[in-house]
Amino acid sequence: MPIRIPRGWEIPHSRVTPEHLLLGRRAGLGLGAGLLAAPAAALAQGAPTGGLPPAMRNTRYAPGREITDEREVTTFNNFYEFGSHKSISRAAQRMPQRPWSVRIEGMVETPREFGIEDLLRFMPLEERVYRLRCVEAWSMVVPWTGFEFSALLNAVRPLASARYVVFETAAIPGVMPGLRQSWYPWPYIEGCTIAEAANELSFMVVGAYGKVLPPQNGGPIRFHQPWKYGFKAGKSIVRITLTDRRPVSFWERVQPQEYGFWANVNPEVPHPRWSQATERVLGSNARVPTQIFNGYGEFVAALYNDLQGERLWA
Amino acid sequence: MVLKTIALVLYSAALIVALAFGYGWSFGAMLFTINPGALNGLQAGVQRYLSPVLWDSLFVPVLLLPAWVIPVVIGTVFVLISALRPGKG
Repeated sequence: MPIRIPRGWEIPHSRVTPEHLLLGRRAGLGLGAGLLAAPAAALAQGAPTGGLPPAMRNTRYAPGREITDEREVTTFNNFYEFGSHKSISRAAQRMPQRPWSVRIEGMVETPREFGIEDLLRFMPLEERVYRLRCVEAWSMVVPWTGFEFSALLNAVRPLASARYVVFETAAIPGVMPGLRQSWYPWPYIEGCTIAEAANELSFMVVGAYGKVLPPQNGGPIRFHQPWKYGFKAGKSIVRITLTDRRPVSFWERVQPQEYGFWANVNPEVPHPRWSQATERVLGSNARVPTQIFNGYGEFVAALYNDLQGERLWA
Repeated sequence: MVLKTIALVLYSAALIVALAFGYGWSFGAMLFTINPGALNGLQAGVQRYLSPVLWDSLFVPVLLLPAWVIPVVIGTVFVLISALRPGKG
């Protein structure tokens, strides 16, 4: 008799939100209390959203930690185009957020360019509270609003030969002082395999804390894979390319001995200059043990079963 | 004599760099080619532990100078020191 071990996010059928409520959730927002009381979901609400449509929280990916204070998340930022320090939030406000479009091209049946407003209007937005583990051994927990990356893949239909997805960050010399340093390999490029991109955890982020994503956090649109170190997540994305060639990312070009292609979180594999065994939780200054795959192994570990001879943890 | 010899070596290095990599090749690009991690570490150290303004207003302009300018400037300093020290150099 086969033994089936349920995943952490699975709930009994009796607790599943009825289909008619789920499909009609936008209309249901006006109805109020009944939907708000649905046990498996909670509405993002409170502060003005700045144009971000309301989105239901997906509780399958419970972070197991308290959400980090919004002020911490929006004032302690890595965004290399604005500098290698953390206080770039003010400078990032100069980056225009509208109009903005994302082009998806390469090995796809239908290359497309999406305006950010169209993505906000037509993509199946939801809120997910993910842990984010920086390679610098600090972490935070953020309620992101966005949609599964697979929704974009479905829209352009990848060719069978496509194996990798490349994310390109905007390069705007007038507002990004880091671009003056012409020796760096701008624009910022990151990438992953198409299997990783199609994983259910891979998320295109357009909001945080129920509001539009601020520029210092990668607004108006960024990528996030919570089982990888944060530098793998491209910010302020303008181009996504599907290809059969493994991309060499920005950090892989700058310091290949320290930052590789896979960069999956693993507490047992130290960075060349520091341990990855623990992480400082932003806002609390507490140090907690780091988990392999940042605690998302049940969703992603199988992606790497057949990979031999790869630096999966750097 | 020693200072002038050093200056001559630096001028020669400047000429070689300019001929080999072009007159517009920046000092930063040269350092990045030699050791990208070191330049990256220098930037992180200055911006995080000293001042982002210091990096943007002092280091970046120097790093953006053509690579050949740096040995020429240093070599000229040696020549001037040598000239100001009669009987030596």
